[in-house]
Amino acid sequence: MSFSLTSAGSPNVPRAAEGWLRSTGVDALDACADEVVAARDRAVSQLVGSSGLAYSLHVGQLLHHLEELRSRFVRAADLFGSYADRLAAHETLLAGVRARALAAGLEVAGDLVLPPQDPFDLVAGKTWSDLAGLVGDEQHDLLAWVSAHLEAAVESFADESLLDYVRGFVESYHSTLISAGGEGVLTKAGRLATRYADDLTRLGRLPGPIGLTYDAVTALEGDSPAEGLFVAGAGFVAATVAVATLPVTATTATVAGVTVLATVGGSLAAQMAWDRMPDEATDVLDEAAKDAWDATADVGVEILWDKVPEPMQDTADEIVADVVDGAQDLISAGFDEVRTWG
Amino acid sequence: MTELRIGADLESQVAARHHAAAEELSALPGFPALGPGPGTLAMLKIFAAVLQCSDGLAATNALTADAVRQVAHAVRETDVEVGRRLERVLPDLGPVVP
Repeated sequence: MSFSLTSAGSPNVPRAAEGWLRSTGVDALDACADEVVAARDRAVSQLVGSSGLAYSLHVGQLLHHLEELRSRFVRAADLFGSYADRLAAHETLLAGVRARALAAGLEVAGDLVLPPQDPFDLVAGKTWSDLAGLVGDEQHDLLAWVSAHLEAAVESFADESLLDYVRGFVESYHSTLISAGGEGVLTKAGRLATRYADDLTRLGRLPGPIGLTYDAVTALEGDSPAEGLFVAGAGFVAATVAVATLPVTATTATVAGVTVLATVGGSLAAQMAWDRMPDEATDVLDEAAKDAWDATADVGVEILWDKVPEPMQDTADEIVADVVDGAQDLISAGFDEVRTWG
Repeated sequence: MTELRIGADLESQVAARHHAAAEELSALPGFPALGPGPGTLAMLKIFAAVLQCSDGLAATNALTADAVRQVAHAVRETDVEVGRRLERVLPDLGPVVP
């Protein structure tokens, strides 16, 4: 019996996120607001009457929401900074426990503090028990802190009024174009509006890498985590981000590797490929993904992929190869669509 | 002449500014990768919430730019139409050349 001094997480992670929010994130919002203000100032002398009033009201709302979002970025940065401080305190406490264990003559192997070899050494035994209790309490306190400060704050970062404003603008713009010229005269602007109007759930979905990452993590918490990972993809970059956020274990790397390949072909192809996999294989992948996620803080996770019989691994390989073969058309089509936006 | 200048300015100054505003936000989803930890999932959810909003505002700016371009187009068409009507009712003036 021993207890572990492994840190639950590095403060560098939230610190990097805090830095990104304060610099890249806030700078982008400020630059965006500057451009909008410049547009408004330029339009003042040119858009008058009803059109000027409508534009002015629209831009006023836009700037209001930009300001609100900026405050959310700053608040998130503050929160991540607090989390980094808490993890730093966590690591300091663990380092202190290590020093006390060594000073008391206890054996420390890597991150493990071993119990005294002599069961009759009551002083060493009490020290070991005290330190084990201290570490246990700290782990509990850290989880409680995360629950009370981070998890409890998640809902407060959603901004339904902003999303309602975006939806309303997109819908009204789209319907205005339709009523003005009919479906046949839709321009690039119309197609863009159509894209948003037809797929308003996109605004309920998340863009780019954050969407995939969120989907991936949500999938890992679901009933069929590997399937969720398999179909969550939107692209190589996104998949790379998702992999980087996952606990680094061979099992997860295997599942995530499949995800990376699957994302090349897009989620539809991935879903088709997943459906073609035998249940035995998908069940094993689900278990592997779930265990890998559950074992985030554990040292060493069993490599479940090795438990998949070779024929099933071959089947998976063939399916992934099929997805890659079919991916080029999908990617080509995707780029064509992107070009129409340009 | 005045209307045409305004139409061009709307496109080159106002619409272009909104397009640039959208571009400023379009790169935001490339946030840094997050390592494992007890708060990683909550951090991801917070990132998701704020980046969803920035994506929506980027889309709004992109559509605003297109809307302004539509207005500029309408201004130019109106100018041409007014010119034609003037030619009809005031034939002695000859063609109205911008």
